[in-house]
Amino acid sequence: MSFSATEAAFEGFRVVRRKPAVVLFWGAMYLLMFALMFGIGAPSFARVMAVAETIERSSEPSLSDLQQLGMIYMGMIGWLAPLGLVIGAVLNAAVARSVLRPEQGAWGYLRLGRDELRVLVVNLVLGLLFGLAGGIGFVAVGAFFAGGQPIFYLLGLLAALVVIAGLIWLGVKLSLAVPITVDRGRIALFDSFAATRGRFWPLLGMAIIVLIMTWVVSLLGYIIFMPISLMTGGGLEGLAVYDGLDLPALLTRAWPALAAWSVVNAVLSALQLAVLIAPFSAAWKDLRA
Amino acid sequence: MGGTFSIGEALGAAVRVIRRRPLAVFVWGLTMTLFSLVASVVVFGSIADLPLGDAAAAEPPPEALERMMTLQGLSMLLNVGQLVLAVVIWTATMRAVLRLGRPERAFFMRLGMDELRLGVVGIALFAGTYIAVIILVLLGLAVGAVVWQASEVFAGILGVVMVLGLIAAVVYAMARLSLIAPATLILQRFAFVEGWTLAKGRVGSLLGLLVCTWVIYLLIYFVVAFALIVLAFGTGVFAHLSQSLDGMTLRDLLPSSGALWGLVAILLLPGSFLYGAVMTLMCGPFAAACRALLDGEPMEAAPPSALGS
Repeated sequence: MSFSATEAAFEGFRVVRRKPAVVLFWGAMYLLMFALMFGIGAPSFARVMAVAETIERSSEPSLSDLQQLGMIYMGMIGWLAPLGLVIGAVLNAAVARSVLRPEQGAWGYLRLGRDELRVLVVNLVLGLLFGLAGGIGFVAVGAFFAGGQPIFYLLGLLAALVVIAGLIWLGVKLSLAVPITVDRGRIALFDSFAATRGRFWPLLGMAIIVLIMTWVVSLLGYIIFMPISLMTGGGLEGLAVYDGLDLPALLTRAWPALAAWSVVNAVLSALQLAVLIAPFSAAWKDLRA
Repeated sequence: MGGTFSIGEALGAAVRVIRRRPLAVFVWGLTMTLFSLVASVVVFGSIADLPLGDAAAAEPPPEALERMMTLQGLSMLLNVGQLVLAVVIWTATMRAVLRLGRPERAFFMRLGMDELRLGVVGIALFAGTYIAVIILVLLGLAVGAVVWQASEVFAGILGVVMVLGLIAAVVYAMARLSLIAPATLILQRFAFVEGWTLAKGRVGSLLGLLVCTWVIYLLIYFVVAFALIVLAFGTGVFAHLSQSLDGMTLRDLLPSSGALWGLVAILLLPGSFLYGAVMTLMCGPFAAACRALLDGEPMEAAPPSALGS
């Protein structure tokens, strides 16, 4: 019933080393997601990039520009969120399975079954819980700052620190919810509270190490992606010049940039997923033993 | 973990690396200097023909903006490269102190798990300290603003006390955190807890070591800066700059190719060795101190003859 945070932190690298094909399978899932994203919403991305570029170039961005950007984002979230939730659940379950049941390696641990449905529910509840807790907390912080007096600024600052600390605490306490759900074959949202009792600091330390390693992986990926992006038309930012075109015309002109962005990001996202998610499954595997 | 370390011995370990592996020290400096030079050439090359003075005041053409965007991306890429190299060299200096006299390859430089761990440790320590300082500064400002309403004089005194307190806290934290990176390299695992525990009760000695490395750094820095200024005056680089201030582009500000090559030669030859030596003196002593504390006795490098080097 003990685990080494520094050992568990490297589980993502071990998963990829044990079965390198997982990067291809998980990358393919991301590629599917990007294909659906751009297949449906490439004009929206072009619009976002064009408006963002206008705001970036302007010394004083207008409120209408910001509102326009917000509206486009809201519209995109409407169809991106369900897509992200489903694919996220499939991938999260796959990573947990790769650590907890390494023998079930067919199709890069990818399945579409009850585990995935349960993980989807857990992710949805966790998302709502964090959104609600953060929302309430930061509304309270905002109320302090609206007081307009130095004493309220001080209280607001202290409240903001408490809210951030509270969200971090909640994040650590619920960090094992997905691996426990996959392992026990039932929705085990709050079992994570009991499992993390007395192990808050090692888990927090592991999470910080894992976050930095994910960042390092993305930096190294950026070194590879940058020249490819420059050669194929500037990645997503390059879409701004196609603003106003309809979907077929846009895809005809921008497919090299979209394809390059999608392939590189798919592989990179698969690696980041392994580095970021697998350690929590490894922690649970050690703790349940 | 009940050992002690000597500041002199820790500094001596770094000096021994410079004395016995001067080529490695040169290569570490050369790696960083060459990268910086190439990066400067790439960045300067892409902005050399940008207009200066009155011409720059006009609305820039769209191509110039596009070029600036590309340059921004390129600059980020170069920063990432520099960060990776800095971690490789940082690890190499500590590895050299710990393994001096044993067979070595590639001047102690690798790109492996040690480097990944030390990169993560470096980022964590830097980001953690940065975030802690920002929070303390914000809290200090808010407390100061509250006290200001009651008494401006007291708020001023409190402000000075809080700034001094913050500086003391940062210095204490630097000493207390200074063994985490070497402990990570020696123990071959993330050693946040071990490094922190190892420094407990030894903050005074570690602070002494920190001050010594800073003094050495500042001395070298001032001597080099003075020499460079004298050189720039002597070779007429400053005179050329003052004459070229009405140049139309950045390229017009460049000194003659002779002076430029001279500068590159100075940077690459003595400059590289100096850079490598400074890095060794800044990083190496903490590796030696950590080794001594983990061993329980001061570490002595193995004699070269005994290890066939």
